[in-house]
Amino acid sequence: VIESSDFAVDFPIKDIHGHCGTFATFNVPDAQGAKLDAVIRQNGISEVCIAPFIGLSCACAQSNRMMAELSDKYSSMRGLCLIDPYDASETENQLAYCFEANRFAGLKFHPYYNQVPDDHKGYEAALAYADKHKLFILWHYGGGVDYLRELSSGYPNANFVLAHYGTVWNGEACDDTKKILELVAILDNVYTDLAGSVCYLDALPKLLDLIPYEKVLFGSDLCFLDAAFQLGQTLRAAIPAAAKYAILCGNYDRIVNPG
Amino acid sequence: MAHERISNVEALLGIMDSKGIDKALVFSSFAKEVHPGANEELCSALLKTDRLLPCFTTMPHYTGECQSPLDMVESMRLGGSRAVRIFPVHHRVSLHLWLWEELLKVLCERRIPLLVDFSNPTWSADLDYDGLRTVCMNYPELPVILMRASVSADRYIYRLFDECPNLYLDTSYYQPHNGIYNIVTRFSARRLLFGSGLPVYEPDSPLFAVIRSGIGEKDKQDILSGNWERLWGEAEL
Repeated sequence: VIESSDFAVDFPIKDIHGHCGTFATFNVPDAQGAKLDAVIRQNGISEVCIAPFIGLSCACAQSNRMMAELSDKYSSMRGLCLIDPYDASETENQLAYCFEANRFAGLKFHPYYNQVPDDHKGYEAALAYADKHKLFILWHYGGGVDYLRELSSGYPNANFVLAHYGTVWNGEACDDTKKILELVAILDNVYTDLAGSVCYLDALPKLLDLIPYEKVLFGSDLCFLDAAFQLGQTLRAAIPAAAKYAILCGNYDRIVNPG
Repeated sequence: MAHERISNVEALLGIMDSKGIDKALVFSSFAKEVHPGANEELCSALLKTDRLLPCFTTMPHYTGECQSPLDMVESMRLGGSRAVRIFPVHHRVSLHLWLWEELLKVLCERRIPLLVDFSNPTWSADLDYDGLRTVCMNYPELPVILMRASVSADRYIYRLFDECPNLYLDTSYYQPHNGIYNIVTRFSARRLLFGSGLPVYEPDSPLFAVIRSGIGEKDKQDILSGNWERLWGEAEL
């Protein structure tokens, strides 16, 4: 018999990786306002960092305004600042809007939807800003091994959360994923999250065989995905209680709410 | 039994015990690779437990690689199987009616559930929904279960659920935000069947998706066991 209590924890669950709004690629129901807040709470998540779908490519200003309004209204939602790598002056405006006029949690880079390479110059102003203000950047897959080393040492006060690598590792593949995760393990300001659609059997214990739990953050990828998928495997993972707490809450607090 | 490293019944039951799963429908990975006699070997291996139900794997028989539909059904009867899984992508046999109709007719007459697995590797893969619709529409008494449909399924599935009362969805990879709730609300919980993806994938993920879906307890029970028990029981062999 499986009970809901099998999946219970006695601390707040915090999610580094979320989205909201409608999406061109597929149907995303109940992804805005009160309905979204209700689904977040239904999943037992107390706080999620959100980058609206509409801002992942270039509608950054609209996206940031949307998140400022949502986070004012719903304590479950924190904004991820999106910047336009094609427009340096607008980047300055958006950084000021998000972090000086509002309390955004961090930044989100999505080179794939921006249609630029990972090391595009359009991200440099935001990297410098993150370094100066000790912010984190949630980065869709992040750059390659060499570029990550460069970023880590070049912007030592910024934290880089490489999205998705925590879930694509199945414990066996000897490919670029392993190289990235080995880098996560040794670079102080580089982390990964669990966001992703694939959930291999016992994936999280296998991940923690490779990298310390202090470098892993829970990310659901809601409402791109049903948050319950990554949450379910994390809540019942056969890992130490301290690791579960760190992944679901502690590491988030250290990076999103430092000091 | 879909993963080469989980090669015996005890190992699979051990994982199921640790996850709180009582029963499972299983197919043979050897049968998926068209190994002769693998379906029957699966049935023999499962004789020692009533927690694992054998699912035959097949494809059109015209090359002689698989049994004819009637011979297969007899093997199923002898082996205690009441379900068939097909892999149109893995076996490179698209769902053309002229290719599958002989098999589908035999299954439909006996209401033997047909599990359609397009070997979906990722959420963004295009599935042959047109072929799936053709099967459902031409054999309305045949229970058709789409396996491992992903987060991008809704734009097809909603229309197909309207058109095809005999179509069901495995939940093992069905990940739309609040997706289970919306299907249950708009259609019915009877359209959904819990799938774990074991032993390749993590059952806690789709399990928690049902538990936290916000639907009623009866609907959860139907998805987690009742719907499958009904379909299994309605098959006539």
